[in-house]
Amino acid sequence: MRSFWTMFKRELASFFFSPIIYVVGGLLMMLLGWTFVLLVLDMANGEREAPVTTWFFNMFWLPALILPAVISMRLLAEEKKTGTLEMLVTAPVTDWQIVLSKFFAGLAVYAIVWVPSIFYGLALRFLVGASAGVEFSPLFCSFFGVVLNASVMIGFGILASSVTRNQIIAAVLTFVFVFVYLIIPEWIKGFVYSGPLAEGLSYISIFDHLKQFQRAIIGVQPLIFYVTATYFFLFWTVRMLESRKWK
Amino acid sequence: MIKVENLTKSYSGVTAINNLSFEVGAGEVVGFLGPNGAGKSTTMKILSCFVPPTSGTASVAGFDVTQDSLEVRKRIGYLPENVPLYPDMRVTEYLRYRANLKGVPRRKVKERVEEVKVLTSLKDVETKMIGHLSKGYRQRVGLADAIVHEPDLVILDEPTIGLDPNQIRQVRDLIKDLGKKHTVLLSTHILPEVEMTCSRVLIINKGKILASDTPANLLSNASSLNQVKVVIRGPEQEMKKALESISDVREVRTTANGNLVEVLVFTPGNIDVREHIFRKVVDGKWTILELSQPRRTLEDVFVQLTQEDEEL
Repeated sequence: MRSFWTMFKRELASFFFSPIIYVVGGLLMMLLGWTFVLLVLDMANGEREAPVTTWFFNMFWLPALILPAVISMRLLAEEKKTGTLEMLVTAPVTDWQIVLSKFFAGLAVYAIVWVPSIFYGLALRFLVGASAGVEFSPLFCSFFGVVLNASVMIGFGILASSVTRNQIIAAVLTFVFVFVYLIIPEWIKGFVYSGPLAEGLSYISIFDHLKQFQRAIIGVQPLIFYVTATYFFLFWTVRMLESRKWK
Repeated sequence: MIKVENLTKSYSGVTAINNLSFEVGAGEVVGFLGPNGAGKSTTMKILSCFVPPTSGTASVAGFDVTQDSLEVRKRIGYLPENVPLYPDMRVTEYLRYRANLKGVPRRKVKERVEEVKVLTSLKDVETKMIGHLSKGYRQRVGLADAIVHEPDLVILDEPTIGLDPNQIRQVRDLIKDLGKKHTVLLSTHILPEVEMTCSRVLIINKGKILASDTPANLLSNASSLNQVKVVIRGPEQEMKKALESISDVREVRTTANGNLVEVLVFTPGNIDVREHIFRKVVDGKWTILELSQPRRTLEDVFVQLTQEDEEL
């Protein structure tokens, strides 16, 4: 556990030494702020039902296309390129500890970038009062949902980062994965309304999950899906790390 | 401390080390020599559990590198050849990170990091970013990292490469000090360094051990030839015959230069024939102008052994 925390802290800190996280985080905040303003204006004109605060989680997919790729690309690819992976794996730590600490550091960065979203809700609650209809549980559940579905994308991202020394390749792979994973099911759902295919797609659809989270429902199905999918990617990442032993 | 038996490693068909066996006892400082590509780094990578052997076994302090890799890694400090470090960390921060990672007791981390910074003369750069340090300093950060958890065995892959002569001297002294408490296995191309720091030398070539002995024994090894250089005024052929009659002399080579003759006398490494040569010259009533025995260096032994091996 101590090794995990040591590596987790170092990994988290290293994110904040690179300018890219500030650029992407800043862009996300601009986007969130802009959406928030629009939604509040809509609500003021009576065009939209309160609470608006959980609504803006609906545009989560836009940052989700870019953030997981940017966050996860360097996790292992950089260590492979500079050779520091040799220092890491010859220290008395297991491959699982390495992968988990890096994965959770990436997920933590994703969560940190999203934290301002909670403040929008709180701001509305305390400035407007109870009439704004802001309830805390949907707010926190939505936040939780956004972070939870990022685990799959960052899980894939760390796997992509483990197969190459080139961060750009890792980022592109993750981008393609996220694109396919987010967009294709929604596209098919556009013309397949019932049957096993529609049910299956709904099972993995982040958009459908998020609707539940916005109603403060944390279902077992989405939880199982996210945990298994993430475990699957992390498992193969560990295998990739071990592959140095097969050559 | 180290036990290597029939170790073989091949990378996609190319054999890096072939049936290697050797042992290193606790407290030894062993120099690992060999031409580039001889398999030194590969052996060190196997011992540090970075890559597993294709066949054969290697163990450190009784733990097998493939089966008890975690136990082995707790007991070794490894400095890879290119010294990979995180450029975005500060020296103290990095060493504390590594100390924590290597399981130095929490309360002792600060104290231990201070100790190794003093040992490796890093005090004056302790707050600097590693990425801004010169090669010599980075090398020392790597060394500090390798010893921060007081490992039983320190494995250093070319620790003095890229350093200036002053830094080389400092690192050499450091390694000598390390040898008092730890077992050290180091590889290097700088042979005088080995003579000064190591209690034993392992010479390998093409993945096989060619020699394993103390530097002193290697130098006086009976199988290698010793030479004496003499400059004499006198008749060349007669002189040659006289010198060849000395027992133990293997070969006499002469080069005439006017009435001066330069003679090289070859004998087995542990035999000194200088007095006999002097007698012969006096008996022949010739004149000695110069008599010298060039000191053999480890470099000569290294070149001789590895080239003989190439010729085979």
